[in-house]
Amino acid sequence: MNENEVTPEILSVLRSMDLFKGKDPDELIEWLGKPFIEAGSECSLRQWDAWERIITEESFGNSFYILIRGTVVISQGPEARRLATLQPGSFFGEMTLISGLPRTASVTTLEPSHVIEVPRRAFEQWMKKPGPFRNIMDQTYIERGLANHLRMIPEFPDIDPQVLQELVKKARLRIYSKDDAIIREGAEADSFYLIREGYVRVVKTMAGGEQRTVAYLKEGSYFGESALIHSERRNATILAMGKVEVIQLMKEDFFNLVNRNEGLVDRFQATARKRQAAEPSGALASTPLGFVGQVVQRGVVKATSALVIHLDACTRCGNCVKACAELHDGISRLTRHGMLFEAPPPSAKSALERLLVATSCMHCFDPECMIGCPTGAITRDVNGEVVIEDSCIGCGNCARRCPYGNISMAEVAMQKELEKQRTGAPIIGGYLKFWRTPENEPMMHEIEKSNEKAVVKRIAVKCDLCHEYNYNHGCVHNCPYSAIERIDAGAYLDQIRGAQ
Amino acid sequence: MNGGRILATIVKASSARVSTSVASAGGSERLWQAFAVVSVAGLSWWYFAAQRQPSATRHHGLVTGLGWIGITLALLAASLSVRKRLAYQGMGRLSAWLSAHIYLGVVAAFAIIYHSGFRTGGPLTGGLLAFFSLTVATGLLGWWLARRVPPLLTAMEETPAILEDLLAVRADCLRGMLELAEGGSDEFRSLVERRLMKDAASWGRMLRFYRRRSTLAQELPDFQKEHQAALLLMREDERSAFLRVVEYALRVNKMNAELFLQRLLRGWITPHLVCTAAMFGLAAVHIFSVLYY
Repeated sequence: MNENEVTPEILSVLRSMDLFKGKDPDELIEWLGKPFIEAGSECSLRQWDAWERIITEESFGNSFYILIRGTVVISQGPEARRLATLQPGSFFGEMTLISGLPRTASVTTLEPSHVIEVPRRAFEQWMKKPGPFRNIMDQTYIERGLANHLRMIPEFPDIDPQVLQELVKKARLRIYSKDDAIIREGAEADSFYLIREGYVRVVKTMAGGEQRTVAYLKEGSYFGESALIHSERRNATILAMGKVEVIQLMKEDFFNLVNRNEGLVDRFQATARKRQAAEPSGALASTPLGFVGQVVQRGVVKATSALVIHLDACTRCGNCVKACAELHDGISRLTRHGMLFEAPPPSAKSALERLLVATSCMHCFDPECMIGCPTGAITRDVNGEVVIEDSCIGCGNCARRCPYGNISMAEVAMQKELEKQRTGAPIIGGYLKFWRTPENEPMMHEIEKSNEKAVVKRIAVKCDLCHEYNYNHGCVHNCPYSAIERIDAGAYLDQIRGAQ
Repeated sequence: MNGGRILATIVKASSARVSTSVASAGGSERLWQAFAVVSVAGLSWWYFAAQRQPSATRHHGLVTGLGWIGITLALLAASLSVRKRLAYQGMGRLSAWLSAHIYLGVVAAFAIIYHSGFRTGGPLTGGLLAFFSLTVATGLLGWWLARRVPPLLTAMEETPAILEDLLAVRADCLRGMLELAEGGSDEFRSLVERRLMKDAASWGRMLRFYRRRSTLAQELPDFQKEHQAALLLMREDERSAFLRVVEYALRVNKMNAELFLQRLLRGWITPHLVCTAAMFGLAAVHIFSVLYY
């Protein structure tokens, strides 16, 4: 947004918001207009007609929105249940930017509306600075996240909205890192937990003192209720298997909730009985960390598109790598190294199968590589595909952040760029030498005079799922023995659990 | 392909992020199998029906027709090579092309054998049939290897390695062996050169890896026992170096075993391509000679 676009109406709406408390108009204009290194990372004023959808539930997004004029409605689910109606001075879209998860609700205009669209990069810049913006965002994240989350858990379907509001105020969001103990076996029970994001491992001490994993729980599950209800000590240790977000409800608030909702205890107990019947669950518990545990522990569970090679069918011909290189300017985005797994059989008769999760972008559900890109070049589209745009400056931040080494830095020949600079046109300009104008001639000489490194550019490269081609995935498409496929790890694990 | 069947059922075709070649490959293979069965049955019926009712005109029509069908199918089968090397961007999944290649080749084999009337004829047609048979045989070998070797390789590998990795590890191990030998006494060096270098290159030991489908860790204790007598004769200060050389030798042998399998998986294609090229060359001469003389 340039200064002329920032109208008095916009300034007045922004100054009325708690988010921007204490900011003077000049500071706001500077914030809105600050170019974030590359074009496309600036805030923009967007106009929507009535009944247009700004955000679609379940899609991925890269923007946060501030409503300046008009009215929008937030709805959720296939039946488009209305959750709230927002007026000028409200904001939405922050949940996805903070959590990296898909949008949890749809946002539709009820009348012609003006909205400021804040791109991820600008949003992150604002979040870095201490002040009301960051505080309000954090609080809203917890409130909206908890409300959305509780609605999705089967044990809380008919919870009174007033009770929910009270809960939201009392609940705390806790974030744990890999291998942190959320609760310990034998400890005093003081709270109840809901998993908002991530996986946890339930570990129990067996008769001989052996520590054994008896279950894995993922987002949407809860734990800690049994010890509270029966006034016992904790009967298992709960370990985080990666980054885990849990919502913690203290003992008094938990009982307050239970006492006001008839049947809730029965539902909790029914779920506890089911869990008990399921443990120890064969293959899962037969090794210290079963197949599911390995998949979770090594982070593959976050993959929305893991590249899996069936080693028993792979003839090591390398056609997948060759095809990838052919389709991406000679630089392959996959290597036939990676994480090895022994997958459980679909039936008792068949043997374990060896799978290789190859080194190639997994398009994580919650991509760590997207945090802190200085130009906002790494983004995800509405389908959740993580892509690196041309504005990459090759700083290597994303490659360092990727926990799986799936992003590499490559020096690409900058013929395209050179031709663009020489002639003002890409590639074809190379053949149209007469196009050169006296204005850009000096620039050409400058480039040629500079050292040879100018002809290559270091950029981050990763699997882009061959999105520029009209079929899915060159590696899968070019495997002669059908030994390679791209899978959604979460869905795969659910299937494995079902099969077991 | 156990996991494959599971995966195939869960993959959501609508999502741009997941894709499987397992389910579609199975479907296309069954289609081509059906095509091959029907075609071979049709060709057989045509050939044997014509044999039962001898007529010079009908026989000529049969032979010419079968010849054209055979060469056309063989050319279509050979188009896999073009798809594999030049058309990465599309034209269908390569696995479907491979199915087409195999089953078109099978039908072409029947057409050409019926075309020959089970006779080799003169030197040209004899050579043509020989190269054709070799092409089919090497193709069948490739098909068999592609099914049998990967599970064996997978069972032996600790971690999946590509050819270049195996070569690098083998070179490192050999270098390590030589360095340790050079730093040791004469007996030590002689033992390494006389015995362990031979063990490293031993085919018998490689066969043991194949037979037992074993990994290095599983074979190492037995191999160390075999060299226990030599170890006892070693000087105290050379024993640990000797144990390292023993491990290096077995590792080199294991790398050789894996390299051989990987080369088998790649190597069969060369004679297949050479025979195919020779077959098409002779077929061109044969067709030209039939048409113009």
